[in-house]
Amino acid sequence: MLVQLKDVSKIYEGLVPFKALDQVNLAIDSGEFVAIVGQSGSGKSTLLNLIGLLDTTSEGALSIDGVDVNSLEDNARTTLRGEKIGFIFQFHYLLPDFTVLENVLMSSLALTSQTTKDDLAEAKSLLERMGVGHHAEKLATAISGGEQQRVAIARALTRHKPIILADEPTGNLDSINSDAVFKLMREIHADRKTTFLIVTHDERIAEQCDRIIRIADGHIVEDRAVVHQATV
Amino acid sequence: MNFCLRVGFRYFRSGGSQILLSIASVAFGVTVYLFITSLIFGLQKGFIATTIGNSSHLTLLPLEPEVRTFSVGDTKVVSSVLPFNEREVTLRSYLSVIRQLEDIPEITTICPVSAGSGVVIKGGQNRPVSILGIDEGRGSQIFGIGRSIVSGELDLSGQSCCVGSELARLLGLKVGDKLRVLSAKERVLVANITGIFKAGNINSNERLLYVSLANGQRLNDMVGAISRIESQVTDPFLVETTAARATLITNLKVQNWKEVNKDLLNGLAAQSQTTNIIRFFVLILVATSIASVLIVSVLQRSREIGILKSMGASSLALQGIFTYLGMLVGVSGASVGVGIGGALILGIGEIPGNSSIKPGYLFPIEIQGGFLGEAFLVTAGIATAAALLPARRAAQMNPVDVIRQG
Ligand SMILES: Nc1ncnc2c1ncn2[C@@H]1O[C@H](COP(=O)(O)OP(=O)(O)OP(=O)(O)O)[C@@H](O)[C@H]1O
Ligand SMILES: [Mg+2]
Repeated sequence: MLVQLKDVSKIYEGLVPFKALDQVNLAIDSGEFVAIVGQSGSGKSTLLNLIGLLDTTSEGALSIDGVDVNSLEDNARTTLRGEKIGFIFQFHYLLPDFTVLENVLMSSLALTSQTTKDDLAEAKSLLERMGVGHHAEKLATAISGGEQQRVAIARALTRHKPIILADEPTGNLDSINSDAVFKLMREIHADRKTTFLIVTHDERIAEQCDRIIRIADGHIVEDRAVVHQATV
Repeated sequence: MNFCLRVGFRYFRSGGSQILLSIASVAFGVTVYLFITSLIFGLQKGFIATTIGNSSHLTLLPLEPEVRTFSVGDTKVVSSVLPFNEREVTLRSYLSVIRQLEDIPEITTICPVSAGSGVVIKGGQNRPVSILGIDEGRGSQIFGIGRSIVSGELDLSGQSCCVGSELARLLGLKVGDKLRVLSAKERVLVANITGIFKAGNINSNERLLYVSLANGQRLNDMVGAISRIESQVTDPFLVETTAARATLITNLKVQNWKEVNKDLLNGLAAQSQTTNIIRFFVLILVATSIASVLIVSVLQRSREIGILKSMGASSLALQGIFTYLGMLVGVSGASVGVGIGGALILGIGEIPGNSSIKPGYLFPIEIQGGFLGEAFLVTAGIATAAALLPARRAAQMNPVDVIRQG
């Protein structure tokens, strides 16, 4: 199992502690293409942040690629995150002072403190693939929102990380851009067998994934495979 | 640390007016730091030169009469071995003492002095004076008379003497006049005035009368003896070690200039302390300006910090980025400050004027290469240190918190 959750709960401590996830059990295999759906506030982002090692579980066991992450020190978690997990958020979070190409290279740089020739070649080809190769030398702020999100996807895909976590990746895009971006993710999946976990509000997009996990009030209320109609 | 430096440098480059302003404030701080340092240094150097340049660093005096106590039965008797007559204590074997002092390499000038009191008489008027018999060549060094002659020349040979400007004014004396000197020992000298001096001290100008050592000895009734030996050393601030040696060798009472000028030294120390306090506050200012700019920068970039962390950048790396940013601001501010500030201070130092410490200039500024280096290192260092706190804050940011706010 690539990702495994056993009785995982997440309680947000605060004035009033809040249980955002309650005894969640989940297993995701390498190469799956999963949609996570549910009402606003149901706990989708919470689940993704736990799997992405951005946050820690309150109860239960979480393992990534066989590693029990609860036992890891902060630095080891950071390194594991950098090596295994790519993030795509609703907002692109590109660094505004860097060029498009530099932004893509940043994930190698952040992880290893350097960039190799291979990193450069990979970054360029990913940008081409996302259809923004011609913007490589522009500042990240000088391109459109749809283009920025594609650059963010290219950044997440560098270094062949086995897991891509996408929290409403198309939430800020119009329907044409959102379809295009989703199609790109499917293509990458077909190519690389990268595992995708995509949080989405868009049932139409969810139906194009291979598996749908529905969350309500911190519980998994539905977990089913999608049967795709044969496409022409 | 390639990553930290690259990101830090980019943030620096694209920091815009915020970064420029903080560079300017660091540069301003360096300038003030340099100005204060150079001014106080020049002031103290000039002050010390005028105060101790023309005075004795080390004075050797005959031992005071010894005081002994002994008991006769139950009674304690205190006795002092007084000289056999009522004359002051004098130094008889001074020639051999001078030879001993000449063996101490740190001692540069040695001058035997015969001192006594008397009056000078001119026309119907008379004035009390201190009669100083000195060795003309060596004395001019220590007493600075050579340099302060305003009329005539320093010549104490034969029956000549030099008087101060104030005395000359009071008695209407001029070079070439004859002056009658009557000592407290009732010896008389009719001296030829060869020079009139004007020392920094008005009291000296009114009270001092210089004659040759031989004339002094005769007037003060100590033929073959002197009152004291005055001397100067290479480094006046290290005078104590030389004093200790002189005491050991000569077995005389040795007095150094620091003992005599305690008030002056305390004043200088207080001044240095004030300088340090000013410098301290300037550095606090530099540190606060850097820290505040960085705190704002960290807050503005919190999302970027979150995303960098999500990509695997360690807390240490993030701390490094902002520490470099602070260092870059500090180093460029310090460079600008040392360059522009240094030039400015050099310029200010050239402004003509009338300072008593550095005649001809408005400010007694003395800038030294070392000051530039010191100001640069201290400010750049403080700037980097000031960056540490905001940088830690960046390092401790939790990526979920900042990303959620998106
Ligand atoms: N840091 C936090 N402190 C307290 N409560 C939190 C915190 N983060 C999330 N929550 C709460 O936990 C619940 C789940 O939040 P989560 O962000 O996972 O929802 P979501 O399913 O992603 O919603 P949306 O679709 O609106 O993004 C919500 O009720 C939210 O208010
Ligand atoms: Mg969410």
